[in-house]
Amino acid sequence: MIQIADAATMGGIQLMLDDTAGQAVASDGTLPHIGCGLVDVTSYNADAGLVNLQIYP
Amino acid sequence: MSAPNRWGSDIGTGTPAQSIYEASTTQKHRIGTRLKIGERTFYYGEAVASCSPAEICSPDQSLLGSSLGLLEDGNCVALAAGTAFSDQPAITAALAVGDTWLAVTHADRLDNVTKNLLVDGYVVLTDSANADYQQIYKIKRNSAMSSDIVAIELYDPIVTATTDGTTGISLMMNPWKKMRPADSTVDEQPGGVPLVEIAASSFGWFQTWGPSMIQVDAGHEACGGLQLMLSTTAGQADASNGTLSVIGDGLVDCTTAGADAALVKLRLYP
Repeated sequence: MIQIADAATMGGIQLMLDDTAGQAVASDGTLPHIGCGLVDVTSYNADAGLVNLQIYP
Repeated sequence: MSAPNRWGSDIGTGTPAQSIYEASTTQKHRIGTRLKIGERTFYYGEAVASCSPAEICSPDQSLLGSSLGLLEDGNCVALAAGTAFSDQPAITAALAVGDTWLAVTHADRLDNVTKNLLVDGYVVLTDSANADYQQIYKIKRNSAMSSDIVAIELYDPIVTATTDGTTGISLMMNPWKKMRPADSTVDEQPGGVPLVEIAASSFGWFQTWGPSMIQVDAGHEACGGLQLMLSTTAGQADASNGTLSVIGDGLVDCTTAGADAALVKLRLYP
């Protein structure tokens, strides 16, 4: 799980670091890849979403 | 004395009861069993629709009532002891440290949840009022939906008490449960690629990591060296635009997209 900054519809979305410490944001393809969202969340900026982490296997 | 050749044994080496080139109508391993062969990784899964070789497949999320697998805040409920299982204790809406059961409710999103559909899946408990309350657990068993309620038993006890009313819930099946060809519009959890056809209700190995093959959608024949994502055509891949989930990287171009399978390096579950 990862706290999501601004992507409530994160299911199926590639994620990267946000400028809020500890949170992830939908990737624009520039920053390092963190993982992929599995399930959308209801609200963001604190809620944690289910993700498939892909940092170090 | 020779070591027992028993899958999962902690002495000796396990041998899978089913080849990576075989589909079976009989389940021979637990869903989610991992098989490592050199640089390739496979997980054992169950198909809910026919999964052809080189098709990217995903759990059928419609079984959780939507493409979201989402329940909103305040969907934990109390349930009297013995309601869902004879050995199920009384469940409270607000969960206490040490609890291993929870009950979730929704008017329609749980309608297709059958007994043990969620086994070895995951639940996230999230509370936007308190960032320290985020929790994830693996699911041991679940009841079928009854009166809009599903009871869930966890493998591990709750480590942080929850607050009824502000706790949100996300659910997902095991990543290799009820597999079907995936597309970018519905199935958001790409889980693996079979090497042979796995018919509906059959079982087999889905490759998740390492050199493999994927059918490539039209227009993306030159996929060598490109990052790949789900396409709008079920089971096929498109060149990534950097946003959708990463499936892997193309290694070699193919000639005819939409039918040919390209050599790829899968990067789903290592």
